[in-house]
Amino acid sequence: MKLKNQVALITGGGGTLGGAIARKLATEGAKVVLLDIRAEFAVKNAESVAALGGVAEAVGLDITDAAAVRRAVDEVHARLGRIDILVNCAGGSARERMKLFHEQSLDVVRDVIAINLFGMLNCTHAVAQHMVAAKSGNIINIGSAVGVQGLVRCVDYSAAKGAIHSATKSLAKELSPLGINVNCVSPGQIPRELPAAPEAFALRHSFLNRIGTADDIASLVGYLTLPEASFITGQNYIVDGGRTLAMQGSDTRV
Amino acid sequence: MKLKDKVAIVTGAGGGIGRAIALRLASEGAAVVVNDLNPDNAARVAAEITAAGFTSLPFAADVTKSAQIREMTSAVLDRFGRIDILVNNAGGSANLLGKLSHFKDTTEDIWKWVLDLNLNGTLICIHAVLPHMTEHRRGKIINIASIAAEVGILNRVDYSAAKGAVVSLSKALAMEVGPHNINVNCISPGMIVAQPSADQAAGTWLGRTGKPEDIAALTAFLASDEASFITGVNYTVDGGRVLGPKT
Repeated sequence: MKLKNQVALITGGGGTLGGAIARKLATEGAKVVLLDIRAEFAVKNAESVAALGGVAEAVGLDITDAAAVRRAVDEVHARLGRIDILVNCAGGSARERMKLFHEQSLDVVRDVIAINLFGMLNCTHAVAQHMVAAKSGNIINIGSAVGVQGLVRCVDYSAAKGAIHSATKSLAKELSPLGINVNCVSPGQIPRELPAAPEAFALRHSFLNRIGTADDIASLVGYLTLPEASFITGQNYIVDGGRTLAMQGSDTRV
Repeated sequence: MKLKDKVAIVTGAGGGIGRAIALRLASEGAAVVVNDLNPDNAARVAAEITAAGFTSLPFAADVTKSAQIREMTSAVLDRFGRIDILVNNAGGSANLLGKLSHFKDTTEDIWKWVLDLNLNGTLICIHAVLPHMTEHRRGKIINIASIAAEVGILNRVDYSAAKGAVVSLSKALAMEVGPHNINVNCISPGMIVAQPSADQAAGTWLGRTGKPEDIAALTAFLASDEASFITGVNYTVDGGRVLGPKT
């Protein structure tokens, strides 16, 4: 129980990854607050934390609304007395609306950047005030292998995630001297649901013979929140089964 | 106890970062082979582990001598029957010889010595354990590189080259052995010193230099089942030193 008495805010707390991170931090003793625009999903994940004996609560929140974010963060801080950990996990690509950039609507592009980049900035801005006052804190941003390598039909998403990687470094420079570590974890291909042909999926998306899971990401996020990781700051750690090692145009698995 | 029943070899474990890694892996339940060039240092760290109630085996061997390393691997398999984790920590710059200098002022024997220790030593140890790891379809190889690999360090052209090579070989090897369920990763420490000067501490964004335990903790994490989807990466642990200038 290395996070006893700590309070952790997790955005995208209603999602698969947010839920896995919540359970991981809760098993180390942290009280977790799950923020999600889909409050009912956050409630469900909070229940999964409670089922493991952890303490969790769900808060409905649109992270693109900076004023609402500040109100929610200040309310949590006033009520729980502290915020030790912020995991900026909310985000996602345009999914079924993904298109080549020159064919994409700029409204979709703006939405993707608003959720991924401004969502993270809004939450960090609101939480950092409390962490600076406490001279202590730990911020983990969820980046993406797509932000490192780019991906077709993901110009908006890769731009936002690449910006998160860079913002992580600048935030580390500003906040680390004040006692706050800032790092990024970049997942590779982590399917939300088990694909029809798991082995073929694994072979296509990694150099390991298995599919990446939300728990694989949550483990590293959990590690980075521990006191023993306190010398790590400003980093972007990729967890992708080797996906980013692959080159286009050659058979990489021979 | 994340490493219960595992067997780990840590090279250069007679002191500093290697010692901290050996102690940490042992405290997580692994039987630890404490390799060092210096038999006394290997024996001392192994005795520390045993005194703490954990399992260890000291083995003095030179990582640049393949015959000695093959002998070590056989001895480990004879004693424990398996090798799950290899931490290639043995290494160092020409500072070990008292011969740091600009590259134009160095000599070929010095840079060959540095490359042999850091690069060939790593390759030799990996090559020695791979037959066992691929046969049993499990393994974790963790190479201790350096921020020198990413940013280069003055007076250490040879060392920077060797550590850059360690990072690159880890990526290529990760692709080759991933299908055998073997993970290959690097950790790049920044400045790890026990008694830092004010200048050294000011060189990080956290206002402190690193401790060997900072590296040991991440090594234990990467060696654990929790990190089994991580391969081919180089994780920097440096207090933000390579983020660059303050202004």
